[in-house]
Amino acid sequence: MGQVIVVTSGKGGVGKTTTTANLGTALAQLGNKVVLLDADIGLRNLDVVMGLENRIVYDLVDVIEGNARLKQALIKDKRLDTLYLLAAAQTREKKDVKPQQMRELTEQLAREFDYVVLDCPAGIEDGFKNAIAGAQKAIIVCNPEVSSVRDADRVIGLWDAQPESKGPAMLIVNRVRPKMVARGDMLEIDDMLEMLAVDLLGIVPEDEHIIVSTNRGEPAVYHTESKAGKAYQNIARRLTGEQVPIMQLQDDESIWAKFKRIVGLSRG
Amino acid sequence: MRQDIVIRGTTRTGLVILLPDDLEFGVLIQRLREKLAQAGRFFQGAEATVQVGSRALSASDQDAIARILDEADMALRTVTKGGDPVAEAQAALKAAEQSRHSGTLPAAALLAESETAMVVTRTLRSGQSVRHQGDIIVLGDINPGAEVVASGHIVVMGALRGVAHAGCTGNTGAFVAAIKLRPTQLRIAHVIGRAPDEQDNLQTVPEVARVRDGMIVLETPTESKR
Repeated sequence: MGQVIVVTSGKGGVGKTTTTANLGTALAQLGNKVVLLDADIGLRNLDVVMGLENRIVYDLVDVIEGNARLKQALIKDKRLDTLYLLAAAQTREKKDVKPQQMRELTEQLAREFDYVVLDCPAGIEDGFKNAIAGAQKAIIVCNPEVSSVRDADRVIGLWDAQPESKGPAMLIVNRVRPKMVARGDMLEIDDMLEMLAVDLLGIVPEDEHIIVSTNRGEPAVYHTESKAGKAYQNIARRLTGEQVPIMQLQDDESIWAKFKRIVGLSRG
Repeated sequence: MRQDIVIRGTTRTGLVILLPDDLEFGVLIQRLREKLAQAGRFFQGAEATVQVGSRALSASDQDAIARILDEADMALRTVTKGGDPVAEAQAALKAAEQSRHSGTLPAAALLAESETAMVVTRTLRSGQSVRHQGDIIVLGDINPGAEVVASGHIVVMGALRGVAHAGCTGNTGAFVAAIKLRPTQLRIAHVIGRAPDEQDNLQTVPEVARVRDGMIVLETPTESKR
């Protein structure tokens, strides 16, 4: 049986879809059989970010309602043979799907794939409940800002409060700007971890490559020069159980500073 | 507080007259007569359902009630057993509300009637709330967006970052203590205090919040001894 992982956040715009696309791609690059499932019914995006929008014939609701077989609805990735997407329906609503149906669907997928990664909609209503229903693990995406941390806390509380016993929630701190952290203008990651009290799965820096790659429908993990892409690759390896140290987000300036300190030029 | 007769209007079944359990029937009848007399012609022509609580009424008792209503130009619709349906519905609603918010905490623990302390052995996250008649001890944090409401004291063996309301039934002697006291808002009885907008000289020691001269002040546990 494969793992079913939901990527969620509560707050919108923190990078759930980007995380799902990059993590899924990175997991597939490592040789795993991966399916990405867009649970954001009515506001689908994952297909666009993956560059697979024009291949959608059947979607998640078609499968659940029995209009299509699962095999027909799974869209194979352009580049990787072991990566698939099940798109969300754009013309339907969240309430057209029930948590029990999602549970059955993810169970069925987990029998065939190593990883089933669900892209959860923002909010904590029906769409969220559907998305977490079948998941055993949760990845909480959070930006280093108070409103995002607050929503992450709310979502972790809801995850923990589920009646079934499930795996832990893990945190990805996304869109971190190293220079702002160095200046003390951003929330400290340690402070976020202290409050949220969950394991840190990874830190992803703010990266202009993400915008370019999103618009091109080509996840950043394909770009070797992208720091965010590198961070997602590390996260994927951690998910498979490998021990990978958290990437240091120091920019060139601080490496220079470190060098100066080592050779004794700096007073600090 | 002594219970009294309650008269409540409803849209479908006319008036409902609730008779409290703790009065002797003779006194109750007298009270009802007085109450209806005080209302003057206000209830004239109304139909009323009389709810008698857990009391067992004889036929003559029922006749007595009917006579009093008749004197006030009211019609007796029925006499039923049972208490105040509105209060019961509110209580049920409150219980449902709390069990919904509480996540994994059993609703029974939240609604415990006893005046003993309730111990919460987990962190309360945003959106979660705990209410208790008595003191509350939390072994964990209270995160922003979470709330703890107690009729007694609140002690947090962790960081209090959300909202805490101690002495919620009016006890100004109640206190809120935390290892790390950084609340969004503190309430003790009817007094409300909030964190200053500019957070400076933050204490790193455990603190106790009490009401002194009508204001909430923070003290170290040693200072706080009365």
